[in-house]
Amino acid sequence: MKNIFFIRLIVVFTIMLISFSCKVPQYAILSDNANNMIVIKAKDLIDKSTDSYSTHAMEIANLKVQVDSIVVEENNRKMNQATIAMWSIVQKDKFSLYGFFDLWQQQNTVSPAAVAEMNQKLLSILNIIQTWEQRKKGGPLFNK
Amino acid sequence: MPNNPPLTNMTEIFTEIEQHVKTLAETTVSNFKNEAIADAQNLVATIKSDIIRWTNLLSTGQIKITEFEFLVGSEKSLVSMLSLQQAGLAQLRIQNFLGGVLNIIIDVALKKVIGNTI
Repeated sequence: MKNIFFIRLIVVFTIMLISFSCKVPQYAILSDNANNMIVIKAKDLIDKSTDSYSTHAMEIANLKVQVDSIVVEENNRKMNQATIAMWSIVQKDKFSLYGFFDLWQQQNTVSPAAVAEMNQKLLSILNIIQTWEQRKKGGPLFNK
Repeated sequence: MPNNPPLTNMTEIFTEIEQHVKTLAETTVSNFKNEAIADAQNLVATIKSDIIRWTNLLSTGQIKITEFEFLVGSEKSLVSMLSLQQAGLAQLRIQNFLGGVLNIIIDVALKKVIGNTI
């Protein structure tokens, strides 16, 4: 009887463990949505960079606030060095998203031919973060 | 801004890039010179079509020098991001493996302790 009780206990415990581990944490969903919004807004702004910087300065400032708040959240998570380092590149690297905004500000407008090229490169950089986040939550670890 | 200028001789450009890369490798990473040159050649080959396109855009005045520099520099950011992803994946694989080891310990211990007593 004692053994049956133990077996039942283990079965219940295992079911609970599986159901908890399968549930995607709320913060992860929020993080996904926030990442997607940033990619969409960044693309929109890069597309508009043939306009004068001053006409979109407020949108750029808002996007930076969103990115900065994501980084604060990511900093509060454990075992999260790669994600933090990736966002750091987006914020601090001269040739990443914030660097692009600096260039736009310095020039006032970006050449149309450059916009198409930069859009592709900057979105590739942001997409790496999205892909990485998916892999952290159980995506493929061995595929490219 | 020139009108319809001749396209830049890309062969000359890539030959010169290769020469400079060799000199850079000899002066900065002489102990790993051959590996460094091979890595550099792979990088140049990967972004060669981009460089050709950007150089043509620059030579025809469709992009500015600062924009050309930004585009080439963005490859550096991309490489940094990919390196971080690879390093992170290696860490995740180790974590998954260690998680698997702990599961094995639990499974085996339970089988021996409880399974054998049924």
